[in-house]
Amino acid sequence: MGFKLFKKAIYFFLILLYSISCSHAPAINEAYDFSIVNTIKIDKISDYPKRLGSGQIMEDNLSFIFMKNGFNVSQLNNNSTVINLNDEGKKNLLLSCTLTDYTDRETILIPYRVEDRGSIETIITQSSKSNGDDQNAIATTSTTTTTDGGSIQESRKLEYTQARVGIILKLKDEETGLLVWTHSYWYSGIELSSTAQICARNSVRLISKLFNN
Amino acid sequence: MKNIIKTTKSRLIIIITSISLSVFTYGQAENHLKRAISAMEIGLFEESLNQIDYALKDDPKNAQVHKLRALLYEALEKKEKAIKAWNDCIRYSKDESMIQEAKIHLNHLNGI
Repeated sequence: MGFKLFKKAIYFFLILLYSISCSHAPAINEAYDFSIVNTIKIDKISDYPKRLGSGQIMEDNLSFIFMKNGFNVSQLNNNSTVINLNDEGKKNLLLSCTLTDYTDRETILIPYRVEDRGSIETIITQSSKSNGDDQNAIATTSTTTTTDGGSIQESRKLEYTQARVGIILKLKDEETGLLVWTHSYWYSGIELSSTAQICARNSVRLISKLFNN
Repeated sequence: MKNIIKTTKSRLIIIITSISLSVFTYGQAENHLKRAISAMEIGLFEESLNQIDYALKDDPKNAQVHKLRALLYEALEKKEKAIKAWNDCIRYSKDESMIQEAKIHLNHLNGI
């Protein structure tokens, strides 16, 4: 009886672990009323270590994508960006973004198979000898064939670099500090700028869903 | 002149050819991959894809090559081909992190 219960608990734990590891959905405070939000202010984004300007690029990407999605975006005097949602709304949200990755130098190794399939080399030697009569020349042909069995190796690797951008986004109520929505996301690609833009685009798409209901 | 030809013993040795059937395939995947990476690094994505196609003929189950192919198709905004390449990557990969990466890309490409 005890063993069966233990077994069930193990199964439950494994299923729970699997669902957590597979979950990429944002965390959301279901009790929060997003319909009364007036504005979202984008907090200043800090640069990723040793990537000067990366914070500003991501901030610009976010405001650009918000605009592309039909939101009214204002740039205040202090250079902060505000997304205007609902003039009758009472709440203001603060969107903070942390860059967890911002690189175009992620090394990727490609293992590949080197296959020497061997070779077959054929040398044909032909000689002719005239015995003084054009009509009766003697022709001799010999053929030498060399076969190499070849070999297979699989240990070689080549490397290339790819871009990777990762972000953690948090939306919190400016007044109360209540965290209402959070999400982490990353994307990879060949070019850093487009990778950063895709990262911003997918995040904004998820934020937009909060206000479309 | 005719007599000279008649009396002169001639010997003609002709080596016709040397036939190598498969020796040309040695190191071909490596060369194509090197060319693909070089082309990619200077922004010649189409040429890089051509070289990858050759490399895949020698090693069609190489998940990393399918991944690189998918990234190139994405960079060229060829969505359908990118989706196919990511699915091939998942099919041949045993690396969980690569499968995870492929799924993230597929979700993005499918608008999920």
